[in-house]
Parts: sequence; structure tokens; C-alpha cells
Amino acid sequence: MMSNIESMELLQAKALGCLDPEDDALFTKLMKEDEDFPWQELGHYQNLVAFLPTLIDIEIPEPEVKDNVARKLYELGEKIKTEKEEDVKQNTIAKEEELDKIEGEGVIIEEEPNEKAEIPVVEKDLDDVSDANKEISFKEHGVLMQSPSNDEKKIIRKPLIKKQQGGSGTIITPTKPKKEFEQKSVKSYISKFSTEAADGESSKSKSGLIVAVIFFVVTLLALIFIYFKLSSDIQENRDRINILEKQIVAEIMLENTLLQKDFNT
Amino acid sequence: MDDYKSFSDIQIMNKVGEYDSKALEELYDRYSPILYSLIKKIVEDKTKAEEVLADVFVLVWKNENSSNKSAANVYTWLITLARNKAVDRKRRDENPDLMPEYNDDYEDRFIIPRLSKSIDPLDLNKALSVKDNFEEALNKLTDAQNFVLYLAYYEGRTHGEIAKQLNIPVATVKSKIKVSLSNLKQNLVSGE
Repeated sequence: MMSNIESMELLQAKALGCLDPEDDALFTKLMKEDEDFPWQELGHYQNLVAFLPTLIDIEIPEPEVKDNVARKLYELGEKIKTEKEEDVKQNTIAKEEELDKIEGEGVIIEEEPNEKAEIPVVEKDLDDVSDANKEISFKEHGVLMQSPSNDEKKIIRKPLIKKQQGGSGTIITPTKPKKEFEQKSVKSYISKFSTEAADGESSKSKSGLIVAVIFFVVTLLALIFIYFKLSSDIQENRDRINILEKQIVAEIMLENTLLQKDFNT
Repeated sequence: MDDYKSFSDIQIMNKVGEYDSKALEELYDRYSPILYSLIKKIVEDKTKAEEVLADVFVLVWKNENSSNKSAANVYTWLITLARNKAVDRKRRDENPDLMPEYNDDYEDRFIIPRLSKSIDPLDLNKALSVKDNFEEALNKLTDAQNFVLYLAYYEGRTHGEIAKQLNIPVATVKSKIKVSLSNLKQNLVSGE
């Protein structure tokens, strides 16, 4: 059965990359909606068209081009880093302005518990700023490139700042400042809470340490007391034994003397 | 680097997907000659071709997800990417005021290739191995068929632009392109 795409002679043209914009939009629509879309045919034609460059006389690009690729990748990393720094800076300014406004109006903010789900994302974004300097390289060419971290990968495809090229300049449009302010506020709250909790934990552990030291000293003193007490008891008993021994010896000698006298008489 | 040289295109592309710079370097060493030659044929300027080639590899680095989706066919994905980028550069240089703004959305829609979800695997070595058969198949086409293919692929002309240039109806151009590629495919299959 011939599909809509085939009947409209769009398949080969799509593979060749020569569809007019309106046909291209129609093709994309049919690709999504047509149940009989000839995927295999499209694949065959895409491979067929890709054979065309094999017939060109092959030229090797200058070695500098490779360095240029490395430089561009390095610049890409720098751009991401700059964008994130700019983003953090803008958020900080927005946060300060918001705080000033809140202070001015005397409004008390109650933190929303359900915002906590978003905290890890914000934490990572902020961490990235300091972590964005990982180096990888086309080392053989001595040019540094940057390898985006996992979070930077997200930002490459979904930048927090949307860049628009136009004319000679570049327009940078910040996106979602309010949302991020809220996230930062929650983060700030959590951070503050964590600090207080940490302080509480710290004082608890200090008092525990003091109790342990006192207990140790008291135990030590008790042991010393018991030692000396037992030692003095032992010494006393020894003295008694010595006295008793002397008395026994004296009595024996006395008896012996008396017996000797009796015997002589 | 020696390890990477033994890797297949798919393995290399998977490594690039993990932001392995050595894999990207190997991919560059492997593909830069054919991509550069293709780009230069389209933009017809050495400096521009070098710039576009660098841009292509930056796109490869940035769009590792797209490449992974087409990981089974690195060759066609890279060739199509380079061709799209070069044609875009050529059209911007020729008609800067008529081209839409180049932004992420435009890039995603018109530059990053969307290969068929059931495309056969193909790598550089396999593509080069059928070069002679392909040339023979192409030579069997008529001059007119060859010419419309040239205008569409290397000149980056659309149906409407070719019709205007040749002063013939758009329907004729559509038909001519369809027949050209169908015949080329048939010639290649029968020649193998």
C-alpha cells in the first residue's frame, strides 16, 4: 500500500534534503501521524544519499583545523561557565531586590514544604559553577578543552540562559528568575536550618564530652581512693601479722626459757 | 589512542556520548577528510570549510543524545550533519536577510539529522567499499537526473528553487528527483 508520503513524492526529497519549508513541515507531521510511514524506505534513501560524498576527491584539512576544534570546545566550556556565573549573579541580585522589597513591605515568608523536591537541582546548578573547570584535552595538541559535567550536559541542551544570535551582538535573556529565586530562597532556608541544626548538634556533643570527662575523672579518683584504701588495709594487716608473729615468737621464747629453767632445776 | 583506532564507529560514538575527548579526536581523525571534502565542495571556500568542519565537531560534542539515537549509523548521521551545516552556511552567506535566526530551535529542527528509526547500519569503511559500485550506478543516470541531484545535494536548492532556476514546474522537479533516486537505488542493487 502506498503511503501519503510516497504518493506525494516527498520521501526521496527528504532524504536528499531539498524539501521546501511547507513540505518539510507536512513531512514531519506525516512522520508522526502516518501509521503506514515507510521508515525502511526512508532509511534506504538516507543511506543512498550519504554515499554521494564518497565520490568527491578527498582532501585532508590543515592540522590547525583540529586545534581550532579543540579551541571551540574549550570556548564552549567557557561559555557555559560564564553563562552559569552570570545566571547565579542575576539570581543573587534578584534575590536581594526581592528581599529588600519584602523587608520594605514587612511580609513574612512561609516556606512551602513541597518546594523541597526542587532543591537538589538548584544545589547542583550552584555546585557546577565551582566545578565547571574540569579539563580534558586534545592533549597531543596542547590545547585544553572542557568536558561538561553531567549537570553541564543538561545545560548545554537546556540552558538556564537562552542565547539569541542577532546582528553583531548577542542578546542574553534570563529565564525563570522568579522560580529560581524561590528555589534559592528555599535553599537559603534549608541552609540556615542546617546550620542551626548543626550548631545544636555541636553543643550537644560538647556537653556529652564534658559529662564523659567528669565521669572519667570521678571513676579515676574512685579507683585511686580504692587503691590507697586497700593498700593501707593490706599494710595494716601486715603490721598486725608482724606484731602477732613477734608476740608468738616472744611467747615461744618465754616458754622455752621457762621450760629450760624447769629442766635445769 | 591506539585502543580507539581499533574501535568501531559505533563504539567511538558511544564514547563521545560519554564526553570522552580522545574518542572525539579519533572520530575527527577518521571522518575529517570526507567531511571536510564534502563541506568544501558545498561552501566552495577553504576557510569557510574549515570553520564549518570545526562547527560540525562541536555539534557532535553537544548533541551526543542525537548521535546515540543513530548510533547504528554513524556514517550517515555525520555526513547528513555536515551537509546540513554546510548548506546552511552557504545559504546564509548568499542570502543573509532571508534566512531565519540561527538558534537552538533552528539547529535542532534543520541541522541535526533525524535518521529513520529502521535505517541499516553503515560505517565509513563499508561506505567506501561500495564506492565503485555507487559511481557506476550514478553514471547510469541521465545528465538531467544527475544535475537535479547535484543542485539539490551540493547546491542546497529546494524543489521550488530548482524549479525557478530551471524554469520548470515544481511538480516536474519533484518527479525528477523521485525518479533519479529510485533509479540510483535500483542501479546500485542490480550492480551488486
